[in-house]
Amino acid sequence: MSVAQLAAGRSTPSVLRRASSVGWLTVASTVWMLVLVIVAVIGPLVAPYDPTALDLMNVYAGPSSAHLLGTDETGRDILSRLLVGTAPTLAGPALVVLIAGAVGVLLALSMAWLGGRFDAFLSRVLDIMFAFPGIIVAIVAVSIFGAGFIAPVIALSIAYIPIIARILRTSAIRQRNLPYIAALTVQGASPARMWLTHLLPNLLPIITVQLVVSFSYAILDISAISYLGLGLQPPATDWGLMVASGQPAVIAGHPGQSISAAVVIVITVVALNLIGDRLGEHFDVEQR
Amino acid sequence: MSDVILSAEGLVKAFSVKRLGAGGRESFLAVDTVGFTLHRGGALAIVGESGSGKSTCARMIVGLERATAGTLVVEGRDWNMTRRLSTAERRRRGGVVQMVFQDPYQSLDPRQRAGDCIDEALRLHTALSPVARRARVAELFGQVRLDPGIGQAYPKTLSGGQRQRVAIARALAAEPRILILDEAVSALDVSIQRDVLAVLSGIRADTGVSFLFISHDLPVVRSLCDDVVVLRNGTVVEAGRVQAVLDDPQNDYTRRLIDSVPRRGWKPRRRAA
Amino acid sequence: MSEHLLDVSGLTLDLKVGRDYKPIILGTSWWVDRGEALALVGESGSGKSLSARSVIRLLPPTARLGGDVVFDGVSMLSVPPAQLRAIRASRIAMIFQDPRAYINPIHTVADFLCEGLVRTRGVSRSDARRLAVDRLHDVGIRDADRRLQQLPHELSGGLLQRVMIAAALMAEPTLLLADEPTTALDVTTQEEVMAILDDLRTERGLAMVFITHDLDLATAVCDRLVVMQAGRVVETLGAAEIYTAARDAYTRSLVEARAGFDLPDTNREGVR
Repeated sequence: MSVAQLAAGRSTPSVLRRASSVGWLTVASTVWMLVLVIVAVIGPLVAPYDPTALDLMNVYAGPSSAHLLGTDETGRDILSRLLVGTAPTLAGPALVVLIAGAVGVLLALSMAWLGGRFDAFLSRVLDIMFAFPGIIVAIVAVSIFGAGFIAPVIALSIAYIPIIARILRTSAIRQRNLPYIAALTVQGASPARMWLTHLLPNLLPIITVQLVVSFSYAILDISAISYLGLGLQPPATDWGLMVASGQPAVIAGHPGQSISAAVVIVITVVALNLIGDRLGEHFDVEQR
Repeated sequence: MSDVILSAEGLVKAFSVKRLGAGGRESFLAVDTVGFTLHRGGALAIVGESGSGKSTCARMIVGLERATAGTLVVEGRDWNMTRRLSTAERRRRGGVVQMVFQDPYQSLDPRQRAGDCIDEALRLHTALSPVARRARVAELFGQVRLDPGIGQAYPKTLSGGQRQRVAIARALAAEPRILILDEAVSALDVSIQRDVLAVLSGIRADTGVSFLFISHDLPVVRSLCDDVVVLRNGTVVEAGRVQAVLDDPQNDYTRRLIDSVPRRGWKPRRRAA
Repeated sequence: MSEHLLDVSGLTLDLKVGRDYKPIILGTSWWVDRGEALALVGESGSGKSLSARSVIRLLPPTARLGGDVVFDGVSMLSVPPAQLRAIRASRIAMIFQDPRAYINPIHTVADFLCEGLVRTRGVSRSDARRLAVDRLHDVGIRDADRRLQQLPHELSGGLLQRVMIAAALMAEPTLLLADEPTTALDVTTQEEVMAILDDLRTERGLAMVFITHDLDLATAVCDRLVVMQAGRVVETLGAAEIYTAARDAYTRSLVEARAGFDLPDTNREGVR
């Protein structure tokens, strides 16, 4: 190895080398998601303007140094609205994934563990639930319980349970039938021990991938519900609502608000899918 | 005290299977009234081909499979085989009978270090302190002739032979009186198979543990076992001392089984089906 | 210029693992004559199976091959794809340890046996079917007509392997690559399948490369043995010499590994 090579090797920071082995798209996606999480927490603090402050002298302003993404039909700063809307946009889907994930994992594991009639019965129930698209369930829920944050979240959580449970059930059954579980059974390990210290850790990779991808779909669904006016109500805002409220302006030739909100939704969904894919690949290789 | 450590009588395992062609289900007897006796410190082989029910017998004894009927007496105690076992009962039985499985690549938790795997078994079956357990883990590694350094390794970095030794050590951690080896060396290369068999013989000599050896491999059975039961389609066709049965088989099927094993001077022949 | 049917010289194989290439076969040379049976014997990781696959280039697309493999005057490593397919279709047949992985589960045995002939040779369906019945008879399947209509999952492992052998013989190949064809079978079934293979091979003058981990089995059905270990050939010797004239320490250890628990020769004449 030449001195130049050595120098070159040393001058590349290990973080960068690691990043290039993971793939730049995945790194970019992860950075995007990290930024979103940070923005969700500190968004209201860093927003340059009050997102609800009207400025009727300054409606439909184009991007400028004062308003990086311009303003909407009442002169509100679009960037500020995006920043402040991040938390509600992510919180709903996060809750959906948390609730559906917890119930889905529990169902999948119990079905794999108990098998037999219990499994057969629940499989049928899940199949029936599976037949109802999440968004329809959410619309029905809203029409019963009223629009807002809670009703769509609960409805989508229920709709996501069968999706998560069915996929995890297959993996859980495979895992449960491996001889190492039989060995633990013969050892006399308690079911709790087998679940918590063996089955769950071994299923964690696939659970993670499943939840990450579900999160991206939940963002789409919740945004769509907000877009339809069934979710968060103004003056509160999230990205779906921004796409909708910017819509009349699109015809008037000012698509700024709708486009910027739609673009962040798309980037986020794509980023999550890329991360999910890469994680799946990584775990797949690790398994071998 | 009786010389018999385990005796099984009238073991039956019925599976409900889909009827071929026509709809509905029918009962299929994987094991049909099988009995055998294992002597204290002895080694009994249950041999047969696929579908003979040999593995099902083993799984019923350790409670992985519920028997349809049959009695099992272990160390003079009647072990119910037809009901579901509580965790406490499984653990109690696990202290008497342990099992090593065929596939070394799947019988260890991939996310658990080899040492932790054995430590877990020790925690289940002994009241040893952490320090004492660590010493015992090292001792068990020695017993299966593995370097104690392997305790830090995850299964995926170990070879098939090493994994199978870890699995044997885990089974021994419970200090069982009976060790069931379900095709435990079948998946291994011959050179490794020989080493693992030597480890097993050593363990039997040192600890006086009895072996129940489930296998299709007659030469291996001959090298390790004293008694043999030949199963075919869930029933016993012949039983006796290994030497007697293999040297002078009385049953046609046993003879056929012996004759089909490749060896020096052997040529395959077609037989009337 | 080689007079051998198959001449493998200095064969190397590297497989891509993650981002790197890992050497699997490290320059092996061996050959098979017409009508001869050669065994590639070794334990897992010896490269025996991949050696056979290299002959017909049945490898992952990223695999790197070196050295040369000459089959009947044709260099298999540089042959154009169309000709390679033609050779695979009619000159070199291969059977595998797990036939279920190589047979389409939704096609009947008839489809499986006839497809190649009908498609690549333009043989009519009815002729192909007649031939299939003959081949099934050859491998000891008497109720061939019924078997032809069955699906793979309706056949036992032993029957399915016999169907695979029948399929391999449909195109009248000159070389058969048999990759552990009986490893997944019971011993009694193994004997049956090996006996069938042995008979058919002798009748047709079919050359065979038999891949196995079972030294005794290899000795029983092959003329010569190539013993492999970790990607190298450690010794090549005649089947008759294996128990007496093996010079390599590894070969001897393989012989001795099973010798300790030999079975007696039972009264074989008594069994018919």
